[in-house]
Amino acid sequence: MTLRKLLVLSSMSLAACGLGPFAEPGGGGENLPQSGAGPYLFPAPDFDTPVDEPYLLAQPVVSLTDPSVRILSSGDYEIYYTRNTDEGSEIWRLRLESLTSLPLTPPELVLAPSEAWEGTGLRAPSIVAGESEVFLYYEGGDETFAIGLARSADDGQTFVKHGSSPLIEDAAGPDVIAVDDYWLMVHADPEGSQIFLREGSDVDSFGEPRSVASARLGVQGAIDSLGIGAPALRRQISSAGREHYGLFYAGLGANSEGEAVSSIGYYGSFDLLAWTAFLGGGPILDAEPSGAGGPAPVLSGTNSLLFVHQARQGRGRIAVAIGP
Amino acid sequence: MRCKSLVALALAMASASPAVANPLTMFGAGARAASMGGAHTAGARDSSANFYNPALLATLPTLEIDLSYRIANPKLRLNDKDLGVDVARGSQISVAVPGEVAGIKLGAGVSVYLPDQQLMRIRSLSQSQPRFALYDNRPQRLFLSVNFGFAINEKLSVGGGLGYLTATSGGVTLTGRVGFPNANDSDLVLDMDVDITTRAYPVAGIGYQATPWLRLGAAYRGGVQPITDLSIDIEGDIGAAMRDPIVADAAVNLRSISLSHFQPAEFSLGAEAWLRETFVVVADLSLHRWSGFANPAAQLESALELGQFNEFLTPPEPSSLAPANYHDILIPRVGVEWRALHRRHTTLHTRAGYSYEPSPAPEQIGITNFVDNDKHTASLGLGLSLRDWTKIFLEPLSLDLSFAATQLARRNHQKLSPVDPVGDYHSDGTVWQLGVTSRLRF
Repeated sequence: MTLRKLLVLSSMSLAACGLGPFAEPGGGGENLPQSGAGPYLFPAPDFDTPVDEPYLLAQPVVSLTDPSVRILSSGDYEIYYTRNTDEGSEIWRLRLESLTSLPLTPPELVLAPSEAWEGTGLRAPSIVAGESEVFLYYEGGDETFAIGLARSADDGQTFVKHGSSPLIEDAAGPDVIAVDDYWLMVHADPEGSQIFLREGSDVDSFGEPRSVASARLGVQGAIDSLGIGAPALRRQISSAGREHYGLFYAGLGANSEGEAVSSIGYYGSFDLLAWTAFLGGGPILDAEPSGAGGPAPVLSGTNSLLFVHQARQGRGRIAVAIGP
Repeated sequence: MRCKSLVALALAMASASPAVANPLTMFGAGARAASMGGAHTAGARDSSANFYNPALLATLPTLEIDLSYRIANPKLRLNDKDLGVDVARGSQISVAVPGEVAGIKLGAGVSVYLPDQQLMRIRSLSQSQPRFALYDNRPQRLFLSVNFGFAINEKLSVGGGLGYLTATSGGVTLTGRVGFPNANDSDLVLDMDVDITTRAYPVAGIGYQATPWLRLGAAYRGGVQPITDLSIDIEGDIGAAMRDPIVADAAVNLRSISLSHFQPAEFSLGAEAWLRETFVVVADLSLHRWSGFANPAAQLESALELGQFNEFLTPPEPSSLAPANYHDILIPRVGVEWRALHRRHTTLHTRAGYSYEPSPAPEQIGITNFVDNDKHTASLGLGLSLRDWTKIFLEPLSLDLSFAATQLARRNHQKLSPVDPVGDYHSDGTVWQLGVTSRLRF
């Protein structure tokens, strides 16, 4: 074909351009950034999956609470949680390949009470992956609460308790994150009136506590009018180059019938000093009517997951909510 | 020649061109203009004068029919992740008809850009949802303008015309009985009344042949803000058939008012300098009045009248929209064309251009996320003209190709609030553009 013919064909065919059925749905909504503050929603039941959304794990008789999540290099979710029975409580874990599939292996016991200070209960695990070790912080005790530490040198296969004494006494609901060469721990007081922050130079050496949030005790309608606890701290370096901290917590308030209900709240900070409550201190997860507790957020910048426990039929179940 | 070069450079620094707010402003009208940085306020020598400066319609020697197709593929990112912003593509047909009445040279023209995905997309997102505001709806719309130009004398020509946009208003009304508790008892009559009205905006231009080698131009394109006003009203009784209604004369009214396809007023100055017989430089400087850009998110109003059930339902408060706080911008554009080959039957032009469009958007530090970035656009093009190749077309047939890349410079957006649901982010991106125009002259 000569150049001249090609040009003629090109010229004439242009008239027909744009007449084809090229319609497409509007785009521009993929990979939207989100800070993780929420609000979160439980996913609706999906009958195409074997999972009873939003629940990931529920068992008869026992109550499962206080999830803590570790994302493995394989992408699997390793969920540590408290398994509560009439005899006491232990820390167990479950591995999931995805949040829409059933576990391939049954849950396994990770840590049980063995030290005197632990009494009959270990609760509120916080799993932290270090460079060469995995650390498991937990709450123990029956009458008085304290925070203990277990360490794993085999990538979480087995844990060995760090001494026979608690790491921090008179404290509850720990959550720990590793930040470069230091550590940050948040925990509640046993009375559930405040959340404290401690900075640590090592995994087992934390400084003095500093109050970062207080329950709005007696404030009608507040989600934490009866108490506050189960804090979870997350640190992110924004793509605009700024540090950001999110503090998730469980507030205990009263519903319109005067019944105690647990809700999830959120504080944000750029410097760990000034904290701002999201939604005016309201709940960031619509978990009516039974509420939710034990928040364990997993933030990725575009997809946020909030693992929680929710009471149903009198027993706690591990559930997951999704970000906006 | 040195003097000409200096004058051309000075004009390039001081000139102006039309700004953007429709697909042609964003991607150029015709492949020749697109490959020369869009600097055609004085440099339009084809039917693109319809868009850039209608005064130049009076200077065209022949009737021209330009058929164009262009595609712009945006790769716009937040936090290095592609948002999947739609490709903008469509056809353009432009016609320019010169003539002479009572010794006055004149020209008439019409230009239509037809997106091939949808004639117009109206999408109103929440003000907090991040989006590239200038690439969301604006490239996805029909463009139509009708223009005239007059040569007042050998040197001076003026022109004007009208461009058109559409606004949508209307609603759906359901009247009758809403069945309760059995929905099958519903007996509703549907009335739908929606008007798609025309919003015209003025276009005007001046062309001045200052010297045989230098032409100056100025153009104005009016700003326009179409409004989409839609409502849904349900009015009637609630209850079962053949029984007294549970609620008589109930009403649910919802209304959404949103702004989209804002087009800022644009003032442009331009120059075209033939530094040699084979080499021309064009330059524009445009002022775009983006300060008039209002928050385009939907303003929602609702009202409920459900009798004794009113106390159980609280209609949402009217949404509060934060100001967009955009500002006016100046856009410099420059382009060159070199006649690389000239034979008896064939002429080949090579072209290049550059434009810098500063962002009219402030850093998004609050609840809104109307993202935009400074834009650098580099363009290249080829123009091939064939003469005397057939007895059907006595005038040259031309085929122009253009390629342009727009780089959106990286920009950080740091939020004031540590509990902002979106949080900090950075934005950047690239827009790849390809265009082709065939020109028939008669």
